[in-house]
Amino acid sequence: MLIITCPYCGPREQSEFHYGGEAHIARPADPQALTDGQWAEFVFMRSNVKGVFAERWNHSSGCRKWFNALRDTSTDRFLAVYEMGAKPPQIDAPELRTPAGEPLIGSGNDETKVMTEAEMTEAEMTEDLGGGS
Amino acid sequence: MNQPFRLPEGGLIDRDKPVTFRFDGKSYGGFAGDTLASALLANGVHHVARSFKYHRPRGILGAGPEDPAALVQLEPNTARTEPNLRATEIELYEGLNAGAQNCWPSLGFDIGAINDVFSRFFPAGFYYKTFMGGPGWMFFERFIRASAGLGVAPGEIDPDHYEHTNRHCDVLIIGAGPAGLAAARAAASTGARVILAEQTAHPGGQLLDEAAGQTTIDGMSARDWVKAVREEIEAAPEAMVLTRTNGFGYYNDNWFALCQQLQDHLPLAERDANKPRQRLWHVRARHIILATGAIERPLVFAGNDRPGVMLAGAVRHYLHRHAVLPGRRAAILANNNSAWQTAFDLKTAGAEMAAILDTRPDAPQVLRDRAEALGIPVKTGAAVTGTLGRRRIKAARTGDIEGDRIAIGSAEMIGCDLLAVSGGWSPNVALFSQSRGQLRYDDDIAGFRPARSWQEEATVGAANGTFDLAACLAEGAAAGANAARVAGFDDASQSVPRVSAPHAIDYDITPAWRLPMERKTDRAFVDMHNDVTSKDLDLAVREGYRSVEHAKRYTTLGMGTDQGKTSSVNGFGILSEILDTPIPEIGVTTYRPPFKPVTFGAVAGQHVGANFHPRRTTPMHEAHVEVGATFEIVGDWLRARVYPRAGEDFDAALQRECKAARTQLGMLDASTLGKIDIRGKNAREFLNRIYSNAWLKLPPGRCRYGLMLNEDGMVFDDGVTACLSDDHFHMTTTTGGAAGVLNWLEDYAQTEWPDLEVYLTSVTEQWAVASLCGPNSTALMAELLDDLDPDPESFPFMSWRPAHIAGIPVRVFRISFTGELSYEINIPARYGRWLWDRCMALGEKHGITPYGTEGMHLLRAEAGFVIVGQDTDGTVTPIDLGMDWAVKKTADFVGARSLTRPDTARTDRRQFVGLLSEDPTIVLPEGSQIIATPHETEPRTPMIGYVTSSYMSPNFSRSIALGLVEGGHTRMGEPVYVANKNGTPHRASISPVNFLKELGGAS
Amino acid sequence: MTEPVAASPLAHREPLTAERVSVSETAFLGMLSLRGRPATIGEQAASALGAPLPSAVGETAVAGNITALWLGPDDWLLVTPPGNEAALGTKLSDALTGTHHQLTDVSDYYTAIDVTGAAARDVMSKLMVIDLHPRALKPGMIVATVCAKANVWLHVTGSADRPVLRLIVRRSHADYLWCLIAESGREFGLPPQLPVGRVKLHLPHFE
Repeated sequence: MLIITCPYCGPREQSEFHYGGEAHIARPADPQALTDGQWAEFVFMRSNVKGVFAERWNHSSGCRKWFNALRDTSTDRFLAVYEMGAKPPQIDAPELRTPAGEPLIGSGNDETKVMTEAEMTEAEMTEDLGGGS
Repeated sequence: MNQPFRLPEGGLIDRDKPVTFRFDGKSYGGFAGDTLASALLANGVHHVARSFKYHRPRGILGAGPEDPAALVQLEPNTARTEPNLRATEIELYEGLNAGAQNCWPSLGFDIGAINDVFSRFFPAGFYYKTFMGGPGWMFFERFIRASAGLGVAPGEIDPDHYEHTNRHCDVLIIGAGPAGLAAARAAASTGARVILAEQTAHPGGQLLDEAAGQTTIDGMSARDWVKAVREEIEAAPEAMVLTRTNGFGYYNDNWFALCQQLQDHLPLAERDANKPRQRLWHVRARHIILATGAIERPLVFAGNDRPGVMLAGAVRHYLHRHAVLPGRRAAILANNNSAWQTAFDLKTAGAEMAAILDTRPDAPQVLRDRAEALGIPVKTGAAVTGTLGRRRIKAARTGDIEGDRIAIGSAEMIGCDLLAVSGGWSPNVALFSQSRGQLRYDDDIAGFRPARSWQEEATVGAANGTFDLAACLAEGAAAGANAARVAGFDDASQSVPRVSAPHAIDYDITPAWRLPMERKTDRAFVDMHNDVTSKDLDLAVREGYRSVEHAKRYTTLGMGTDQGKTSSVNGFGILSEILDTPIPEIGVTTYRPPFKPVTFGAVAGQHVGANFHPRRTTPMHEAHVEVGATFEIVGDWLRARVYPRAGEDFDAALQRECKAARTQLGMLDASTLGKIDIRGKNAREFLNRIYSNAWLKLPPGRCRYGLMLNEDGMVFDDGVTACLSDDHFHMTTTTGGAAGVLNWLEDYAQTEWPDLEVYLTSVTEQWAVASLCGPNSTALMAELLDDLDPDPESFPFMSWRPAHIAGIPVRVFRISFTGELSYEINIPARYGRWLWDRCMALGEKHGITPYGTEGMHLLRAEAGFVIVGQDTDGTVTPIDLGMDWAVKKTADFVGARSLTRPDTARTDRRQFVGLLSEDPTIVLPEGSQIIATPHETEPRTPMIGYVTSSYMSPNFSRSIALGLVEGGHTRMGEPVYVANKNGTPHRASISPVNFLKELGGAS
Repeated sequence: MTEPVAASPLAHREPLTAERVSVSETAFLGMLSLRGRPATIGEQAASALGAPLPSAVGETAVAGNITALWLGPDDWLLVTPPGNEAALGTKLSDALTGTHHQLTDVSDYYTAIDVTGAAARDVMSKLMVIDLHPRALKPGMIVATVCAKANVWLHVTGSADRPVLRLIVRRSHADYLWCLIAESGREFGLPPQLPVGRVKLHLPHFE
């Protein structure tokens, strides 16, 4: 279970939240002015990002407020939360390790389970890693 | 009782508490403190199981959760029976009964062992190859299932109870071996909240698996040190030690799942019915320390699965914890130093040592000297090439390793009743890998160890590849102090335990992933849980399954209840040899929770039976129960469905209730309807945007029916909303849709139109609702109301009034879901039961009849009213429902634009119509397909719709139905056919939905 | 005979008592839901209540016999003794006239289950995922969260070692939670309770 930081209530358990899909999909101001294609794009089409994704969450069992979050979908880690109506903060996207778009660590992707010597830092090569690595 | 292999002294057993138990139908003796495995070994029983696939005799290989094959059925043929438990982990209790599993008729003579004779016909991939063609899996399944597999699932309801609990802590330590204890002590000393979890009954880990006095820590014997440290941790203000607790799942954000066994070690009669048998802990930890130790690997050689072949570390475990001598004449086979200790300990305990066989060309002189001093023969560069003995090893055949073969003429038989093996120690990185930490392969220890953490975590001790005791303790203490510091607790005790162990053996290994074999027919088991041999891996690679994940699935290596604890790393090593690829490039398979099996009972916890799920009840609930109503579940609500009288069945009661509601007076408990208070100067505009019909002109005192659509234009809820004042509305929703509608409204209010001044608050349960229906309802209302004339002339349909009943403020709505004269009384919920009883009493003379949800459904079907969710399925527009009148053209609303999409605007869409069967006695089954022809054709008759609602109407004395039919609105009177699984299709005709008008002559 | 009878959601239950934990219903508390932006209604509400509305997560404010619980940035629950809700409602409503707000009487919607005693936190830990430790949840705090499968408001009073955990729950969830709390307290001696939701179901599709 994830910890999600509600902008109003602080870090809380995922079971208190509901997911609301992709963020920043504004409802068109004048739907009748859109072509069928444009309207269908709004109603049906959402992006399916591997990596940093802006999405909506609702603290449904808490303050009942909606908010936005940036989450790395390849590692399931939250990078930022921000209020409805605010612009997403700038996030440095992690360096990718796999051709499929996973970062070096955190995705569980096969390619990232074992570290090669080339990827280890000097300290990791020489030092004993126990005791609070 | 006779325990021929029990040593006269030592061990952590209580010799004053003898225990009698049964295994495979025979009675044995043991002591408190034994495991089932140690007690069986004390009695000389090594053969305890038959293997999964070939039904080969299997013995006790390990001493803990790693054991792959010593699986038994605990308490067979009782409600408490549990399959596939490891004998090495079952704590012995008085009267314990364990059965052998996967064998018939007996463990000793097992028909299924024929599979072993024909094993060359069951290679890796056997299932895939055999069942993809021919008669297929469906045909063979019952035969395969009967002969393969393990234990038997219980057939009765579990009499024990289980529970979940949750904790937050600063530091969670998994494993109470030396490193874990040191970590917990350091962390606990700071006042941080610390949980130390140990899977066995005793903290101490490897320190308990060595001879008393071998090691001194801080001037105490190792066992005294363990006891002192445990006491110190438990005395800390916010620390606790959980024993018999299996930390099995490491999830996101340091969420950790553990299963604690509270009563499994107690005799059945002594278990406390008010305490759970097992407790599932969900722990959220700031920092986690994994001190999960290392798991010893067997060696892969021909005959390595014979009972009596045992891991060298497990032999030490049984010797020192349980005072059991697992064999009287033992041999050792190892590729590393650690197993030599086993030889020395066995000899010291009185066993005869036949030989130490070390696969390495040479062994350290210091070990050779000790062996010589003890008179133990040593052979280096040696392999075992076969074992003899049916249910227990009698002899091992050895030979000299020459490259990848055995030197010709070097074979020799060594008589032994125990072969202790060690292929090295694999850091137990299962939980570390679950946390998505990254591993690296360390040549020095020939194993994978943690490289980089992904979460707030540190791995210490043998789990981190640190095998030296002093280093383990230092590493643990440092990690404990650091973890506390991360959580904000700084003043950890800095003392590092001082170790004195003059005879400790340094770990040194030269891997030998598989030993050479002499004959082509020899088999060496890599995975003794799933009967996977080294040759299966050869085959998998030959057939193209080169990725470690593919080879795993093709051969089943590392699958099953043991999850490859003893087999995975050997498998990786063998694949590396076959593919001539370095092990780090072979990689590892994915470690997933649970680390070891968890009972379904613990997973379900206390949320079972009547406590499984909320059953919401209305304020009038007990009134329905008292008169014998039957109920249905709507959303989470329990709603009275019908009120059968004595001698009445469901249908008779339904007919009576519906007749009364139209001809006299019916009363429905409508309390469950969703209710939302909507307030703000833009409330009206808000309603106008979220309902498909027009709301700007509804005056205070009036009500309006509204439809809600999703943006795709499909109906998703409906209800009546009343205008309380210009900026204040009372919305009702369907019972099941209440929560969803409020969330949906909040979504629009907060995210799309934050500029609109509107607030929404649920008032669903503030009000109890009695809905009165029928010609006599006005008379009853007149008696009930203090201050309101209910005459429909002055209080017209679709209006509402505030009023009082016996001084209690109520809201009365003149709305109807039955097409009949109706009043809905909303009263504060605390008076709901009183109001119901009052209506029943005053209404008696008016023929009041309570009706349930089934009656409501029937009555509204007579009136042709749709039930969203029954007559609609998320693909139905208001136009499809024939409710064009509820679609405004003047302003935008949610879903409006979708109604002109080409597909939504089609005129041949499935449309909501009435259906009258030609035979009025036939009630068309709900859900039936509607077809256009009187017979069904091959290959498939086109389906033009289906029946959504269907009833026998008491008021029209015939059946009526509603359904969705392609182009139905323009096909009034046309015949259609309703598929009938029991015969020819029923003929029916399409009609308007309002049967009151069609059949009853109402206007 | 015509005198209206009020029944609380747990009127059919007797208080449960064991050595280290007790469970009881506090029925008919006056409860008002107040919605509004602090900038819009804060001053008027404060003068009507006699204390400023709490402004941050976890906070409560007490003024006389009124306790204001923070539920969200524009959302409060005002709790007052039984029978006082109408007067409080009128007073607040008058004070807030002309502002954008919503004041709703929810006294009948919710009831309060009080779990008290030294073992109260242990009992409730079995049903709640949030941190109930006194270091995290101090007397005087409010949390909107989940208990088993129901949404609840948890208001803590009493002392750190003898807390009163007040669960404010929907009336239709009260019996479900009551029975689960009793089950969780079994090891401490609370008697098992059978949910009233165990009734005859008519399920023709499964017959």
